[in-house]
Amino acid sequence: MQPAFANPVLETPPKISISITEACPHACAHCYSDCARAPKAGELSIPAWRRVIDGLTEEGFIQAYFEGGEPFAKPGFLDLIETTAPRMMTLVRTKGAGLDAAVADRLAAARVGRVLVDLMGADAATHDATAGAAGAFDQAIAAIGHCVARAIPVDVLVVLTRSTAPQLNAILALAHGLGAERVGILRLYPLGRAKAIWGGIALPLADQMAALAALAPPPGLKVMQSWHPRDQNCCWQAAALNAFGDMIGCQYLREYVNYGNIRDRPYLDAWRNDPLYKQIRSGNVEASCPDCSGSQRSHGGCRSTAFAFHGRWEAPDPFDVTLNDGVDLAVLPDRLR
Amino acid sequence: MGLTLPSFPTDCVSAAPGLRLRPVPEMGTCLAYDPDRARLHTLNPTAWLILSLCDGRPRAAIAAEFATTLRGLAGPAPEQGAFSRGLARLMSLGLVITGSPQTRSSSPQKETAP
Amino acid sequence: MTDRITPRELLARLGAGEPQAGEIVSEVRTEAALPFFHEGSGAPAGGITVTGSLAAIVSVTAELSWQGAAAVQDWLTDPLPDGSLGTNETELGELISEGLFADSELAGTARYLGTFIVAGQAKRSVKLLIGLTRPVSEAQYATAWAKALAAAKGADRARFDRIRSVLAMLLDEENVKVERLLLLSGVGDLIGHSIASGPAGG
Repeated sequence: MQPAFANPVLETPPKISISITEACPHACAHCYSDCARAPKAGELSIPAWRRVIDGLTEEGFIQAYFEGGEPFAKPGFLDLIETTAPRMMTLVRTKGAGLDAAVADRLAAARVGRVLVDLMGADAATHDATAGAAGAFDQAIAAIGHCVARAIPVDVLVVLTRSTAPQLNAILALAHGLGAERVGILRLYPLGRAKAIWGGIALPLADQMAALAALAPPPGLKVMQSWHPRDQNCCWQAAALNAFGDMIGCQYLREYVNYGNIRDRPYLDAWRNDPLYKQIRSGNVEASCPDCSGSQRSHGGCRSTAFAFHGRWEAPDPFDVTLNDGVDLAVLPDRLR
Repeated sequence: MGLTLPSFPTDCVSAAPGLRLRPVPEMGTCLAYDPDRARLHTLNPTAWLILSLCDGRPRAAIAAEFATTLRGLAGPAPEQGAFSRGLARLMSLGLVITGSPQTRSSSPQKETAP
Repeated sequence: MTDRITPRELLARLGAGEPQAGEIVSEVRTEAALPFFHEGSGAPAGGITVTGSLAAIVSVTAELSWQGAAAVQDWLTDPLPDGSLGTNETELGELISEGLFADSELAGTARYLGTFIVAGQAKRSVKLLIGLTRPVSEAQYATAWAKALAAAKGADRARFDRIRSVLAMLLDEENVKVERLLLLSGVGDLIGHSIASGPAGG
């Protein structure tokens, strides 16, 4: 039987997200990977990542998005960037730790396409409290400056929580003033350490929508968000690897799926043949918001939050006002506690 | 880099060095990664055809092959001047440069079409 | 690895349009998703509204790529260039509802029901539905289209070109399928007694 809804279909994925390490000098309260200062046992080495990048290039990937942990905490990460950037559009997400002037010089020379810096507040007190590290805010601000000074495009990322919601416009102004091109407002995911403190940091959906409605970005700053009417089910083009080389489709699915390890199986094999991967990408969902599907050409919204709150891959995304159906986003299901 | 449009039909044009092309036919597009400028581009099939023809030959020869190729296709053709507009666009993006491949430091990378 | 494709092959599949190229910058809200589609193009008409009973439906189904389906959707929702109220779909509807069979005894019998995108796995069907309050012969239907298009061309060349562009998207595909469906309950009993006398006027 034909599904009621269907996402666009990619025969092969053009872009991939790679969590290069779960080491991080910060101790973010809501860390999705439960990172520690030292790398975890079993993380792929840089030589192993080089072989992975070779394989991904052969498989047609043309964009790599590196994140962590903190990527710059991985010894040899810059070497990997220098071998990746000539072949793939290369983006790096960082909290700014370790991105000093010398590192920025190497990023510019390697032709990194874009650096994305997380801000957890508009001031040092708020940011450092969430990051669990004194001086983290100053590092992030300095990292933005180093990149902007070298004409590396910079985006700022901010996760919408109880502590960032009142500061969103201040963060937009700060980002714009520092020379960032765009700000991406990300939803809070019930992953890693965020689950343990969910009730203290998560906002009800109405409060999230109110915070978004109150956004007043400075002229010239582009703001992106993934709530209604732009709730995208981007699984149809999502490919991701965690620090251990496991194929997980999307970093936000890290606790829910594993399509095998890249050392054992080519990515395209999982893409083409894993039944769950194909199901998650399909867009065969129980309900689709007409506004979001009209603007995004995909159905049902984010699969990670849909699965987190409902336990079904076909469930509607409760972060979409039209699909929420009474789910209180400030309260985690018992299953996730 | 300044924009240099070929002024004469005898000017030679080439794809920029190091370009990596990645067709996504199911989306009707070809992605082009320019590592020198760290930029990713999307080309529709007509623009991709123009880029693929830019192999260091004179512009007039490329325009002739472009026209011949389109005549062999069913359906409506683009309006007159499409080649010039497309070539100018590709040059403004830095995907096509003047000169022959021999004058460049490196050649375009092979296409990856999984 | 496999299935290499050339620009010529893709052009043969999709047709040649104005060359377009531009920088593509990944989104930051959804893990660097690539924006293959432009935002802001709403879905076309979501329902069928019919006044009066229908005797037949003409269903024009084109199997298109996602890009092709998106192009049809964009065309339908594009505002009219002269700034007047409505979209391209409004003009298409007017051509069908008012132009088909104009100046004949069958004037007013055609209804534009809508253009719908039916999602499948690898391809997308775009289905244009035309309702007819009286059944007509295939020849009458073809003649009506020819006359309506000729009249439109003579009256407003720009409007004609706009409508022709979407018809080319739908009808130039090799695998377009046109079905004529008689709706028996609308014109007779379930064994089609009133149909037995043949199409109206024919």
